Amino acid sequence: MTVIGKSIIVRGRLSTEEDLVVHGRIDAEVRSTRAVRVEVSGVVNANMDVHSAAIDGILVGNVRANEVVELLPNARVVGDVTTPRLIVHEGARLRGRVDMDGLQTLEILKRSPVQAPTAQVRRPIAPVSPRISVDPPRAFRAEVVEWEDPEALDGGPIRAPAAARVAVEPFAARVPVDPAAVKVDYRPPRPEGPVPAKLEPAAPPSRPRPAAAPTPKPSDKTPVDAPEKGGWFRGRH
Amino acid sequence: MEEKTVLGRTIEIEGEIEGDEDLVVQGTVRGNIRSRRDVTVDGTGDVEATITSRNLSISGKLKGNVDVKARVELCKEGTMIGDIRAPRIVLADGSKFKGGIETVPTDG
Repeated sequence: MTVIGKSIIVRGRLSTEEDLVVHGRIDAEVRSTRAVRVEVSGVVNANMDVHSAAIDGILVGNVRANEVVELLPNARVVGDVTTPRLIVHEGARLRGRVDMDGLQTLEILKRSPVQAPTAQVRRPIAPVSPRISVDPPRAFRAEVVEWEDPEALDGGPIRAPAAARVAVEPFAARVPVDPAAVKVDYRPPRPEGPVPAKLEPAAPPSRPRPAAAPTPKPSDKTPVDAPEKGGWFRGRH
Repeated sequence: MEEKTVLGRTIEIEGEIEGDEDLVVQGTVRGNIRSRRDVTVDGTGDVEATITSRNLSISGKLKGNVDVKARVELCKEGTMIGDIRAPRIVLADGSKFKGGIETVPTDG
């Protein structure tokens, strides 16, 4: 087994026929007939063509595996994944395409029951950035969400030996996007505008009200009489 | 307990290796090795590279120039072709060496 230590940088090309564990940085194309494991401090900045891969660190590049690719909780991957089997742990981040030709096994480990059962990475932070979903012309569908802060790739406890600031191309620049297939769903921050008409419960359009009767305004819950400004949420519960 | 990097027997690296820790090469390296600590070329190691390190110990095959801060040791099974620049040099009996030697004063 080969262990690449934390302070090592390898540039060029690396090929091996034994297991490889990476704690440092590899700017070299990795080819292996066995398993490759990228640890939390590991940074691989090139393509990987391996038998199986377990990624717990940063990978910027494509990975092709013959058997399985496992993205562990600290994985941050920018690139395409081609593998018959894919395991994605909660916390892993992926931006790229996934191609599982045989569609044999797709396991997604859910720790929280709230997690949606898709290979979707979600990061709820206000304000919400536009989410772009593209329908690719193939059987498997991967939806990616733009990160709020691309610099966050090298934040946290991860200490790569050299600067782990890797330039990332915008996703749209890499993939030819059919404009007709792109749906942009932009949700503005907390709505305070007028209430859409369909949210109001069904009520007669107008009601004759005695003008002399002092109807207390605060307790008036009829949406039909709501002023044009749409005070549905304003000061009322 | 310092970490050590071991490049196994079947590893082939073409390019550069740079590091701050001990490095043991049991495979094939072509290119350049720079380390601030010790580099060891094991019996199965086959290195064609320029090596810069603190200490260097060769038990395998090395072809290239070395610039070492402390000590170079060419062990009994080692073979080396290239120039050595180091303050202290040890060529063991049975080793094979071809190249130039320059002993320089120890830095610091």
